[in-house]
Amino acid sequence: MTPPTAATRAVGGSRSLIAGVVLFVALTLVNLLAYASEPSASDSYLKFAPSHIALLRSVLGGERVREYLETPASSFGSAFGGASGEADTAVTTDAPVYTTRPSPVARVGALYRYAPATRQLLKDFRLEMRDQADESTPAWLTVDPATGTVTGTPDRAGTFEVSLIGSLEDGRAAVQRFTLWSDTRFLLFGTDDDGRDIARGLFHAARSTVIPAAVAVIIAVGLGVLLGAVSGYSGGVAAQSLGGLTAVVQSVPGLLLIALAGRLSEWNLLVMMAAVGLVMLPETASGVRELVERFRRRDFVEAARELGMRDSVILWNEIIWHNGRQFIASRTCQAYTFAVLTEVTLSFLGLTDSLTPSVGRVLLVGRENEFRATMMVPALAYLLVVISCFALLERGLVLRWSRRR
Amino acid sequence: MWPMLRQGAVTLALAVAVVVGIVAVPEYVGSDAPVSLGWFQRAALIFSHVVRGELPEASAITRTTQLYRDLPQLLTQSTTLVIGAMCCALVVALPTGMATAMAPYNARRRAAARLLIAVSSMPAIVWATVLLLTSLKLEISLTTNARLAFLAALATLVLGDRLVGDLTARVESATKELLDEPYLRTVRASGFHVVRHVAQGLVPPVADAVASRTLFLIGGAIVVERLFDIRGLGFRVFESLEANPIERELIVVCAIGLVVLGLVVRSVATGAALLADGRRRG
Repeated sequence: MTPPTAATRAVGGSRSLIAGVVLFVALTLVNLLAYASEPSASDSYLKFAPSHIALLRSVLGGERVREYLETPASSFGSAFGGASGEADTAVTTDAPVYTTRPSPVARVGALYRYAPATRQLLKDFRLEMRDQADESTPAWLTVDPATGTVTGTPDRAGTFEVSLIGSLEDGRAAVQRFTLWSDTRFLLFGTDDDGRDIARGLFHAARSTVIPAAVAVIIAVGLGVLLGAVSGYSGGVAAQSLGGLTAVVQSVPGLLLIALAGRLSEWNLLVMMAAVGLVMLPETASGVRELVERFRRRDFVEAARELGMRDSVILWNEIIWHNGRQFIASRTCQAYTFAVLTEVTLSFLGLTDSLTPSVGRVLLVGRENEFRATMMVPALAYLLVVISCFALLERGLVLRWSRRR
Repeated sequence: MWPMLRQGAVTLALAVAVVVGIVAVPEYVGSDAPVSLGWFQRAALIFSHVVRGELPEASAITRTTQLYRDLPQLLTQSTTLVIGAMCCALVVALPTGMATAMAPYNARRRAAARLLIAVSSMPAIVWATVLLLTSLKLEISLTTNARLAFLAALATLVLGDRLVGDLTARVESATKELLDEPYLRTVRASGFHVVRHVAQGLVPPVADAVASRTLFLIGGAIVVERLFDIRGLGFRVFESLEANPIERELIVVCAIGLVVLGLVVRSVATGAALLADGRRRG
């Protein structure tokens, strides 16, 4: 493998920077739109509905079909597990009769169609349907007795228990039972335990990521660079004060400090982000201080002083901008990532305001409901996108401003 | 040794001041109610009993007594998690880093090391969620005790994972430096195995790496205890934070317990580095 050259490094850095900037702008726009829009109301009859997209359904789960055979003595009521007295059901899972599975979602006003395929010849198909909300039997779904094709156009949203029953040659009934959700909305990831659209909830939860994290970044990097630059250039009392501040903040685990600050402020997100910034501040300030101390005795600084340049111009222009921007860019991206991760972690642990939408809350709800992949996987994917955005930005900026290009 | 002890004492004093200050200030700022020192007295009572190694009397405050009695178990759980995570990280990082440094042109070993570093850079929350989700989807059916052990093992893996990348990189660079040493080049040229000598020489840098990441490890332990329902000091702190009103004395005691644990781990690591490196002892 050939070692990277200045040219390849430059190209790689540009690509990373462009990708990072595009992602950052997109995330910021999503955050702003989330602030501008209102969270949707609950639809309690659509709990845990799956995605409308078949690929996502197969990946995240949500298709639950039960198949079994019934002996001729069973009544129709046994299809729903009701008392039949003389029912004698046998569940067969190793050689199901049906080879196809129905789609569990339907749109209100759009045609729903399911054509089953079977291993054995079935006849006299019939359909039994029940609305979970009010136990009624809607009539919008019908079946062709000869082919078993199920068709219908939902006239209202709801959750329905459907049983497709076909008769075998030996008189036994082959039952395929599934839940059918019909909705007016397009459900990208389905719904949660309260019937709320997960995709929309995640969209609103995004408001707690990039924009609030800017508060932590302003404190950690803005204040940190200021403190570090002044203490590194002046030395003496300023440097000792910075050392004392570093010792104080680093004496206790950072997450504990942030959680304490959050709890004592009744889980105010801005206060927690300020605490995150404070935890990151000493490291940034120490790094800038070392950088400034390393450069303040260099020849070009002496020459600049001799030329009459002011100390502030030497410090901020010559030292910080020309020699420290790489480090500052890197720390900014790391501060953003740390702030976002801390907020998500604390809300996942249930330590934030339950009324504030948050990615961590989505993960927590998913965890509390038997680790539902429909909730956890999209939230994790969004989190990884955020982390990747800042990793790309960091790499792009560092390579772009690297002196060894 | 004395500078290390002095630094530890300063850190402990600062930690006490910070935690007590943060917990105490909101109670008094802007409050019309009479100043209450009950929680501070309870916390001080617990510490005084811990220092003297005696049980509180029956007439002492019930909550304080219960916390004092729970303290050893909480401390044991947290210590086990932290030590287990460190051991996991060392078991993975040491051979990987050494193997990569000893055969730098071996693409597989290099890829393994890079993969470990990349995996380690993922946030703990992501790994914990993925592992728990996978274990549930695989429908691993275990007895209650086996499930607890399984969760504890997962917790240790998640916490240790955060250390692995850093340790692997340190071990790799330290091994390369050691292999450039004249005496090791002589050993290699003579046809002897260098692993034993390299391992001995790795103790100081690895111990330094562990000592520098102790605070990070303790912070991660707090999160992992909560994620996996391991009833340690960190879990108890979060329970105290969620209580209404918050249990200030428990927060103070458990937070200081965590800081002490971190200091002990750091001291052991630094001590090991001192023992292994004759130059530092001198």
